[in-house]
Amino acid sequence: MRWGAFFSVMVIVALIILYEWPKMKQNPKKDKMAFFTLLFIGLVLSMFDLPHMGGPTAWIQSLFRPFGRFMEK
Amino acid sequence: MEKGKISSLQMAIMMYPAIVATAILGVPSITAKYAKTDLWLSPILASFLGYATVYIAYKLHKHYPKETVIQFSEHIMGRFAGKILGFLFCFFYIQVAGLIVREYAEFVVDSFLVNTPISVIMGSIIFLCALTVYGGLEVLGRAAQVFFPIFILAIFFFSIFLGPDFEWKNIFPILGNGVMPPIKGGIVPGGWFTEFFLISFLLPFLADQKKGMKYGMMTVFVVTMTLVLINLIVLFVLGPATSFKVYPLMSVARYISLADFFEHLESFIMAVWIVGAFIKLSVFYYAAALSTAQWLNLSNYRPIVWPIGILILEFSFWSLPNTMGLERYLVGTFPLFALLIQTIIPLFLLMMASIRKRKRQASQ
Amino acid sequence: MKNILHILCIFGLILLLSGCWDRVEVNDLAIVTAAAIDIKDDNQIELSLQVFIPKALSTGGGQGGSGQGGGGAATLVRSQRGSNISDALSKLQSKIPRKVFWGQCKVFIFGEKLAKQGIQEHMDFLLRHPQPRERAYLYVSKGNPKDALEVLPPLERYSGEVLRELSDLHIGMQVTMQDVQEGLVGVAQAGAFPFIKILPPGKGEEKLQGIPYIVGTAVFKKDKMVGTMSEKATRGILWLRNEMEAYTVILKPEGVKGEVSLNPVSARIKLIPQIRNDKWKMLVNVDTEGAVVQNGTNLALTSPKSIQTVEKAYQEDIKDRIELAIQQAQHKMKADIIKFSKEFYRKYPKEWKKVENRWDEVFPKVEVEVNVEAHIRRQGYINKPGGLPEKEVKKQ
Repeated sequence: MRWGAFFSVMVIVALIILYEWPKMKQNPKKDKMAFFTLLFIGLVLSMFDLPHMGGPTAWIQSLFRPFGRFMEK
Repeated sequence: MEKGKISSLQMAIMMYPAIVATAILGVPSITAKYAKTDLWLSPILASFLGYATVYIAYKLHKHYPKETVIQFSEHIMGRFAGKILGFLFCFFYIQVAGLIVREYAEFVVDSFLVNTPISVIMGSIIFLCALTVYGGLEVLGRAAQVFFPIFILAIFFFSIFLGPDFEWKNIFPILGNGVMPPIKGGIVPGGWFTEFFLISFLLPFLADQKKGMKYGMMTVFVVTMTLVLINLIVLFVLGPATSFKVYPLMSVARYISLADFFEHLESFIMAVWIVGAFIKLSVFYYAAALSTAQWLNLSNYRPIVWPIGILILEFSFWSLPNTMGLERYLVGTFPLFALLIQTIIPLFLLMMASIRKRKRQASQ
Repeated sequence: MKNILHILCIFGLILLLSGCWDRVEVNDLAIVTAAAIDIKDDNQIELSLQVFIPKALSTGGGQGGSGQGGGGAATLVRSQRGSNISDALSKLQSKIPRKVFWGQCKVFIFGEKLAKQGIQEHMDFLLRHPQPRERAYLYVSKGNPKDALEVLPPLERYSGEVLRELSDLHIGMQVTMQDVQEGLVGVAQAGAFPFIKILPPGKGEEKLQGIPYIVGTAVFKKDKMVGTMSEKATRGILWLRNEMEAYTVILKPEGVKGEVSLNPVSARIKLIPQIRNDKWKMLVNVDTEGAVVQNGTNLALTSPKSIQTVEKAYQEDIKDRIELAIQQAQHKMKADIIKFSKEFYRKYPKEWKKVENRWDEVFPKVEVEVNVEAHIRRQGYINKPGGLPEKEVKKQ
């Protein structure tokens, strides 16, 4: 857990909500849901030590391993 | 969703830096590693992927003129499979945008702002691009229009200023080791050329849709020529040392020296390059935001522009502990992954679409 | 109200333009003008930096007319030992109150001893660090390279500038960092550096007022120095590498007393590799033009016949020089500093592949044929030997 990154993302998320919320009052509920879900994913991800963690990028990389080996030759 | 309209020339002007900006940074070195003195042939070979991608994207656009790939993949594949494909596209563009930010920031930190935290550099460029994307496609198109001449002029003057330092003979031997090296060297630029599939997100908003194909193809050609030119410049100046440089273009820019006082031009080149990177990131950012909004059936993509910025920032770090890891990904995974997502899947969609159309016509 | 807020925001952004973490003031920088690297007996590296003193420039500027160029030196030299450059540099930093800045450093000097042990490790630092430039010149010095930094040249502001100017004049070989990297990683696997010495101060000058100057060429095989070449052979190498500029050829035409001096005006050199029946051969075609600068003979160069005599001598002279240089490179040093390998590789990539690993053995066996085409184009402001009575001039 990296508190610095987490708190700065939290501040940014708060700022985004403050900026965006008044503008999207009229938008359908779905928009609001998507808005908050994405922000929430971003906030959750910021709690991890992303550079040293497996994730989609690493999975794809292992999926394409044979090609990677071909290119390393 | 997107009410703005752009002209096909604007599309071409947006696509040009969207491919070239990072393709001139580290790619010449990677190409040189495989192709040696034939590195200038590789972009020509790779460009065929670009032509193919533009052709596929345009044909798909013909079938569904008002929709982007996220929407028509649902029509072609059915709702469920279409949603899965749509998710792949959303993920792909967010992830690639992350990679671009990382490439950009590592370069800036490496060469100029050594002490600045990398997240600040990333944050500031994402902030800027988010504002542009928030403004909409027309704003993006006009921004590209403003900066494009600067970018082109810089490359032009750059090649003239380096003229005295060219060692023309570095180009020999041509095809000295057979045709395989340039082909292998073309794989990585090929990954960049598949990015032309981005026009799929722009074609529905063209004011003059008929010219889309023409301008798309033209852009591929101009991009190819630019990459050939840059690769030749790098080869003429650096020779066999090209593959040793991480940023050959930058090394070459530092080499400019005219009349003993007109030198140290790298800050200028850097500034111009950042303009290109800004357009590139904005186009990818736009594609990511638009595709996510369409995938979720939102009424507008603007509310999710900022949240996606955070995701892009996080993807730029995710599983990439260092620059070497980034380069390994760009060489060993990205070309094939990009080809799969941006050329092979669309090709498959196109085939399905034409089969469906024929069936429909037969049943009528 | 909203507009005002927007404008304030835009003005607020200006504050960010200066950057925060990487803000560097010029008066916090120690601008390195030249650097010297040598190895000491305990296998430690000695790094010496010549650092520019901005103060000396601002106060010394006014006394330009006072003859000796000012008592205060424009630079100071600091050195430090360490296990490698970066180690020495970090220790040296504690002796210099300002941050060391390499961006303006155009001169790097290696000590002869270090050069003989190999420079690869040190080149890595210079090439990896983002500040030193690809266009910086490299030298090898006889003896301690630090001496070359410490001298206070009377004409230029500091010794680094002297070397740079000399290189720009093409007095000796002009070798940049880019050239060295190309030489080391390219097919030739050999390099040549200008070899410098300190010219002792003239009579009446102060002790330190010597200048470094280029006396020949240090020849490198891989990254190790294997020997030096004389100034004369260096000229031949310069001809071969097409870097010939300002220098005078002195000829002794056949059958007459005295010498004629020429300035080559232009020179075109073509290296044409040939492989016939597994015999490697290099044709060196030289096409040069010159102008007479001094005529010490009694030949009137207006007559075609005497021109022919002089041109022939010119040809012979160039040919001799080039052959001497090739001879030394091929047989004495066995190092391919004239880039024959590059020419062969470019024209015969397939054949090259076969000998790539034993180029060392093949190179001395390459047959060389030198063809010189030399012409005299101009004779200067007088058309007869100057100061010679008309009747003594040989008319032929």
